Amino acid sequence: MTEDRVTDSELNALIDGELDVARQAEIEAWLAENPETAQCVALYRAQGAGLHALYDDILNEEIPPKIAAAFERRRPGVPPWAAMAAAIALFVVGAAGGWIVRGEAGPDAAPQVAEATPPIDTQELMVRAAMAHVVNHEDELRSPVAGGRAAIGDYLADRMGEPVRVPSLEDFGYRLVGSRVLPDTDGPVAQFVFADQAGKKVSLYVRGEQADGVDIIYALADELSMFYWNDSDRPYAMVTRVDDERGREALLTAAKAVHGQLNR
Amino acid sequence: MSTETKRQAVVAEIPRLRRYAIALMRDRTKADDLVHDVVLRALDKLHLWREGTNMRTWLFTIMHNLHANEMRRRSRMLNVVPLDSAPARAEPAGQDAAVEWSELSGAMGRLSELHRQVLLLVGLEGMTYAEAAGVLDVPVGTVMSRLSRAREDLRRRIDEGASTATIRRVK
Repeated sequence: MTEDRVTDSELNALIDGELDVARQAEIEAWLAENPETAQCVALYRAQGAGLHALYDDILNEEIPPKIAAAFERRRPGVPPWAAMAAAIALFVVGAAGGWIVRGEAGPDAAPQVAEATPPIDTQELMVRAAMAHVVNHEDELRSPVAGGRAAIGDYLADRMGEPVRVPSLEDFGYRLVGSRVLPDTDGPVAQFVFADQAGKKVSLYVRGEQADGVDIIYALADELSMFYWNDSDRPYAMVTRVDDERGREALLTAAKAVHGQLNR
Repeated sequence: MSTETKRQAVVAEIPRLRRYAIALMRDRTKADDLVHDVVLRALDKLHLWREGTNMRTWLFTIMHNLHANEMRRRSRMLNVVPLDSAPARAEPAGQDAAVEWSELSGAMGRLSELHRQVLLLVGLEGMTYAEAAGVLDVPVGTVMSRLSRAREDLRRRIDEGASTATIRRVK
């Protein structure tokens, strides 16, 4: 080591503990021989101590009410799609292609439900599906009244660039209110909206592109409940406002029906 | 980690966010406004925070970006004077200056903001060069060169401040 190879950067790195032990020892030995530079290093260290002396009291102050209020304004649950995003602590269910939900495989079977975080693409798709469910007005939907289900299929096929089956949930008391095409990251998606007699809505979000990942995910946020699954290389997300356990079961049943109808 | 746990982790960082914002902006009201905005943004984006990564540097990065956007927005509205030649801003009354450190505080106020940022992130927050580089979105080498210049500059301004004070006393 030669003296002139101690750079300003190294002196700073010494102060900030960024040097390896060997180099640190070398420079400290060098500083012992160079009191002027050593004084400069001491001064810089004093600057750091001074900053703490000036500002550390702030650490002990109460959090100002305005900042505390920000936490209240962002309670999970408002808005629901944001809660879905925040609460995507999910139940990833079952093996490939299976619809195995806790309890369904029989009383003796271990529940094949695991908590897991799905790939980020999947999470984002789920959030968009949740958002599309919440931000939704009947006027924006292509209604089946005029041409029936076939017309909806044609309309979607035209815009999606491939045939789209229109599922039916009538057996579960849900009629098709309408459908629309929405933009998604990899192209258009179709959204089907169903409603029961009380006006309770279920929406189905179908993307054309292949998606990787998880077989079936059940996600639950404060106000929304969702089943997400992949089959025939397509991702599906079925969303509704959740009331109770029964509501979730109903949603699952409907999701299975859609799976059965679209996957033939 | 549950959402509530993550929210608590955000709360735990508020004192540090405030300390940095106040030291950087030298204006408590503006600093608390900034921290408020950081908290809202962080809670909205909480799902993007990856578990196992550093919550503190994530929050500081959000703060840096919000602050930089705000500065850009302002620079479009106002004629910007290069920071180094800008007149020293008045110290908010009764703020943070322990008497013996008032020269340091005054000198900090006369530093360019780029220099204040690195000094505070490394010198006060104790971040590594790599962490500071991540927060500021610049290469580690830039952090090192800025830091080196900032310390020199701070020393120079403390000396100046001290001599000015002496002259005033003589008068």
